[in-house]
Amino acid sequence: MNGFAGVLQNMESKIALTLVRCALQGLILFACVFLGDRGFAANEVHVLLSNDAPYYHQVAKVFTAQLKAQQPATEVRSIIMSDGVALPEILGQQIIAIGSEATTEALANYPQSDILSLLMPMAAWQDINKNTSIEGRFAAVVIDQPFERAVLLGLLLKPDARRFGAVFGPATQTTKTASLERVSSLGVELITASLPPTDNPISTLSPIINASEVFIAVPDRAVFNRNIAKWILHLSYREKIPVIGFSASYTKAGALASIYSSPTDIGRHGAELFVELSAHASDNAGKSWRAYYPKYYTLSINGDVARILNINLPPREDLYGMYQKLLQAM
Amino acid sequence: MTDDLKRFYRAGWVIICLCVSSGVFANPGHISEFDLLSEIPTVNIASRMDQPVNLAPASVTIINRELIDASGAQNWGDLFRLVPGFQSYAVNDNRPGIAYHGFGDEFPNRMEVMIDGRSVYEPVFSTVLWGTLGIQLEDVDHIEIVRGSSAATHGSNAFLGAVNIVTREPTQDKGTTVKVTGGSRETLNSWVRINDSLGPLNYRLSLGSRHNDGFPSIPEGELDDGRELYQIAFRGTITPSLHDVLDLNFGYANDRVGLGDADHPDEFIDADYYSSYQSVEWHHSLLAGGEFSVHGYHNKLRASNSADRGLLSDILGVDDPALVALFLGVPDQPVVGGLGSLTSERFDLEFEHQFSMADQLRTVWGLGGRSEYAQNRFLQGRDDKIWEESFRWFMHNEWRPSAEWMLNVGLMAEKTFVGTLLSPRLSLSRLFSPHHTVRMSISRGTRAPSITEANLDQKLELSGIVFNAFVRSDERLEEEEVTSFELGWAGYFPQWHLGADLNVFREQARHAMDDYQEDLAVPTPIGDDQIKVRSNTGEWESVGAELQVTYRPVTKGLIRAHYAYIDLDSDFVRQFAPEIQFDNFDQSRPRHSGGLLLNYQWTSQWAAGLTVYHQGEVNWRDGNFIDEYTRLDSHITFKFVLGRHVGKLQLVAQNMTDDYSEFNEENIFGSRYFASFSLDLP
Repeated sequence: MNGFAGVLQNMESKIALTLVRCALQGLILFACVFLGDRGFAANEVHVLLSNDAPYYHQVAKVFTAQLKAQQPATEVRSIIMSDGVALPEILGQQIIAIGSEATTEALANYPQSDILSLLMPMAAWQDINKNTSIEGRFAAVVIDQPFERAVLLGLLLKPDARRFGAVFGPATQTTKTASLERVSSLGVELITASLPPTDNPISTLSPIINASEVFIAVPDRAVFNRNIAKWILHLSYREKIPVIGFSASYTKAGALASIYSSPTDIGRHGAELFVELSAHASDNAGKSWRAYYPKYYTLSINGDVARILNINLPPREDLYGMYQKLLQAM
Repeated sequence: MTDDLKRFYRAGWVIICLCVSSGVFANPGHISEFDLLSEIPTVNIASRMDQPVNLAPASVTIINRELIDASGAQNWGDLFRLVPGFQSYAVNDNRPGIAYHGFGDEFPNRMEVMIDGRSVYEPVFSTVLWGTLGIQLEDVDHIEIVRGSSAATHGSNAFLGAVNIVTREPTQDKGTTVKVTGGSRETLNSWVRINDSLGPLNYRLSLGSRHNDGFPSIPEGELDDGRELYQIAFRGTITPSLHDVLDLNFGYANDRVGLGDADHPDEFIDADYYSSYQSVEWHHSLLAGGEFSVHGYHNKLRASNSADRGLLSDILGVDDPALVALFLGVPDQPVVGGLGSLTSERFDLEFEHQFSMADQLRTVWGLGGRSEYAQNRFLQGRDDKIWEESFRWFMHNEWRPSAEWMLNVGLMAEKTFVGTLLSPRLSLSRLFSPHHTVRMSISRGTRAPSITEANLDQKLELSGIVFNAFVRSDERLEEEEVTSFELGWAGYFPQWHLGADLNVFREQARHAMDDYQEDLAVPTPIGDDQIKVRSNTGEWESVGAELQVTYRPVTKGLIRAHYAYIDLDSDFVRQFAPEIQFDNFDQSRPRHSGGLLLNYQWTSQWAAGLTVYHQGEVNWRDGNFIDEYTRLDSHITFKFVLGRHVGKLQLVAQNMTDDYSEFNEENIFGSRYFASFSLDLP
């Protein structure tokens, strides 16, 4: 008897569960149909990836893990953009766009949503804000580390250096003035030049590098970065001038050190910013919705180059500690 | 100009125009994260694409400037002992034989060697003449080496391997540097490098000379294998815009060196080699990504050597010259030995285009044409220039479907005088982490005979009558083939600063070019009644493993070790008639070889290094049986500053242990000592 009663009880609970599930689904359907343009519930986030590249996945993974740790109830859904596949008509009120392409698509397809863009460069943010009319709220954690951080790293590794060189490419012209202003408080002299693609790179770089004690490689378009890297590294190496790069790859190629944002750095900062923006969702819109340089950073160093330049490098952990102190003191 | 050549040039122009226009009109769009995340190029030879070494589709060794300095190497032969699987030996003291998986041939012929992408494989000798390269070790920035068949990337001559010697670019150094080296065997080497600019042209001009007396004398006679070498090399770079680089190279070398082997010291003859080259390469990077390049070059080699062997009557030991006419039917006359006069020239033009169809897919393809001739009566039995034209098309794709997997597919198609040759390669890599990769690859390489190999007709001719025949080419001579399987692991342990590369391989060669003996239809009055015939009568299989390890326990220290184990199973036809006889050359490659290099920079001024090299016993095909040996080299370096000048003094001791033989028993390599002094004048 007990067994039969148990089976009945089980059946009852299953029926009850099914009813509850149906009711919830109905409620969600209702919400979708009638509250569509008001967005989904606050605890649902859509992550839009520019494509299937590993670094987009890495940002999404870290963002999701970090967000879940802070807001366990939040549901994160990921969509990977691919050629020829149309995006859903409605995606929700809160969209995390990872990469420039995802950001552009999100702005075009969901103009009224709140969009947090991760990983696109500052120059792209400025371009978009200049050329696109944005109805919803729009914030970003950009990939590029601010120029002054590279200068600080140069100062840490070569404390007596006072003349820093840099060459700006066509895409970073717009950020040049702001970059120089931010560095002015560091008490260093900046020797800079602009390099349009039609100019001779060696003729432009030579006098800048010859007059510098540290050279900062400023990221631009990939083709610019690739083409100029060789000349920067050759000319600085022969003058025994250390180069501060912007990627692990730059360090490997011959820069003394680099400061850059890893996908983990961006994902982590992105999640923290998202929580902060959500917490102040009812505040005066637009105040906190802006572009942020990444709070976190990664440093890479090239021991071989340091040895050749006779620069004593502190151990990695100490380097982070010393650099963080400098950053805070700034 | 043949129709094929005309069609080739026409097609080339159309493609270049299309590529330039596609780049000009491409819309670069906004800057994106891709721009910051994209790789800064690294060197690579394996697939013509910039790839990290651990992602290359073949086993690669890089010898960089630091390693060259740390090794204390005095010549090319010393340097290639640092590479696992290489055989490096002195045919005579100034003529190295350098081969990957070679057999101790006097003229190793199955490895392509390039300088800045320009092939220096000589069609007339079917090998590389290391003395005529026109550059010295000091001009080298790094050397990229593909260990294993690279025919899929570099064509026919890269049958068992490829080497690209990358010289220092004009922008890498400044001012003037002078270097003088003196030491054992009357060695006196000098070298000057001038780096400067002239308007938009940055250039490097280097001049060098080398002199030594070669191996010591032996009881049978003086080994006249000394050297007198003079060379000049120019490299210029013009960068008219950020997207364009024009690279100019030209040079000249005059090398006077002994030709012959120590088994026959009396037959040594001085040979004069004159080589020159001109090379122009244009790189254009496209706004939409990718780049193309056009590379054209011209190589020329002239050589002459001859020795008066005396009158025919003296050689035959006949007192009365009239008897010569009576028995041989020709008047008594002086007999001249040696190569005589020799010329070869090569014109080569290649177009290459790299692009990316998707983030995960990169492609490089291109086409090239080559026209070359060789002219030498001694080797080819005729006076005229023998011209050959060949055309090539190649494509390589690198597909990375996920972070863990990478697929490389490559193909080289060559239209040669023996037909259209196809050399494909497939390589699959599994990335277990950013630092550990396992690679599996299979490739098939084909090699067309060189001009001389296909036209051998070496004989002794007096007054138009053939008196002895030495070697000829089989009129049915075809391409040889090799199929390679390789399983490799490339790992790096950042916590220990230790990198390692291990590969196991199996190489099967079929229809390999080899010589068999054939009875002459009409016996010659002097010499053997047999002739060697170069034909596709050989085959071999190599199975083995190679390891290279680089360890930096501290930033100022370097430990590098390498080891190769190779088991060789071979056979070739010794003769077809009267009954077929086979032979093998299983012992012609050392089963074990390896080395260890230690280098430490004690202070910013003092550095010291030790290199140990071991080679197992071997019976070189064109040389002798050589017992196993271990050689110990060391160096100590002192850097100093004199005002604005930086100087370097280096003392090198080679073979600090027992004497050993190189290639021939008589090539005794004793202890050698060198001192070099260099000064930078900014």
